[in-house]
Amino acid sequence: MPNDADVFETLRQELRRGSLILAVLGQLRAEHYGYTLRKALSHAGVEIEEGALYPMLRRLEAQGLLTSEWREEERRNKRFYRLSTDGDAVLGRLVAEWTGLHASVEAILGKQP
Amino acid sequence: MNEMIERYLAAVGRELPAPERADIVAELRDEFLTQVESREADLGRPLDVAEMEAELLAFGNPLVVAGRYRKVQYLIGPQVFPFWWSAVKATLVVIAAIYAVLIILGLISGGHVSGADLPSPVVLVGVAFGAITLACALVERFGNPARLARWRPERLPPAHGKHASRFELLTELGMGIVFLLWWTGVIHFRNSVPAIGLRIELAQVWTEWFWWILGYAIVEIGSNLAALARPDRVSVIRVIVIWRSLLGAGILIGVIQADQFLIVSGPAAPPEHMFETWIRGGIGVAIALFLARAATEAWRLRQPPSAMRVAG
Repeated sequence: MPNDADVFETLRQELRRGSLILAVLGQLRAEHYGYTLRKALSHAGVEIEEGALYPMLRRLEAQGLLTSEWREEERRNKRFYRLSTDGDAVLGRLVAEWTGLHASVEAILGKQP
Repeated sequence: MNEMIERYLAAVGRELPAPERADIVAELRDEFLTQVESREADLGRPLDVAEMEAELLAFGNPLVVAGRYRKVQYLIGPQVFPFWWSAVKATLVVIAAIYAVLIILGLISGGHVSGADLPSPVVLVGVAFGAITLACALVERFGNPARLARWRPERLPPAHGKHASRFELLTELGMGIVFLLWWTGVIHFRNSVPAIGLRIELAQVWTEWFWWILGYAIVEIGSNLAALARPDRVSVIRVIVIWRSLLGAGILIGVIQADQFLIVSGPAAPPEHMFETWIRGGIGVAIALFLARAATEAWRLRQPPSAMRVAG
């Protein structure tokens, strides 16, 4: 039987899953390569493992939400990602959704039982 | 040190789809080397072998790291899973019914009846499980899982009322399949007991009624499948069961007219009239059961719908 910590961890991961995409898209309004993107997210308080980040970047690029290019920087080739025009539009809609959901949850949590 | 990194990246690369392999590995190499450089800058010295190993371990198992890039992340998703589970349960009940019939027949005959041509239950369960899983995985991958979940409230079975449960229908289906397989010669039961010199064969009357009995078996399996597929059509299913039962009774009334049902031979054969009496009695009981079932279903059919819903 899972203990409280396991249950909390599972719920926490479920809660974070959708938000991570929003955070990544938001951060990529400025160009980043993987490592600096992770650092920027971490700096903003959003931790993400590289094992989850890179496949997500590929998926988002395949969906047309990101563009990428290989470029040399600091003596090594790096792949730089940036939000595409379509990605920008989708991000706008997702932010509206997020804001509405956040307000609804806040209203529910703020209610006296 | 570099060799350890290259071995790791090669292990990841082997599990990646070929068209994207070089690109993904190049990106992971850059990520890993950047991490190492950052750590070395913090420490003010190069990493030693143990530290490098720890970095690789933290980066993740090559199979897991590569697996996250695969388009298919699961075989059967949450939309298809309930259908997979339901199909597995139903199939297990049918298979259990088939082998329960074989075991009971074996016990009745003192261990001299067996479905020797059937695969072992373990093999059959394994094949059925694999086939259902494959079918559901194909729906998940290439089909439309949402379409699978479409349903109509009016097709739900009545909440009340006397009607066969899914378990009963599946059990009857399993037994019907065993009978059909035996009747058409797909599986054979041993009909001789060499140790005591006894041999039992069906008499001519069963050959004369072969096609009628075959037809009955097909109708029974079909009506059980129909009842499973459309449990809401209570009246239609009752009508089918009435006609099916009358057909069964009619066939057996024809069969019971014969003088001989079994041919028992061999030096140790018991008096044949004893067998004939048992069989005739058994057929008589079966006719009564068929007629009773037809009468019961006809009576239920005549009950007003509201009474059926409330009274059951």
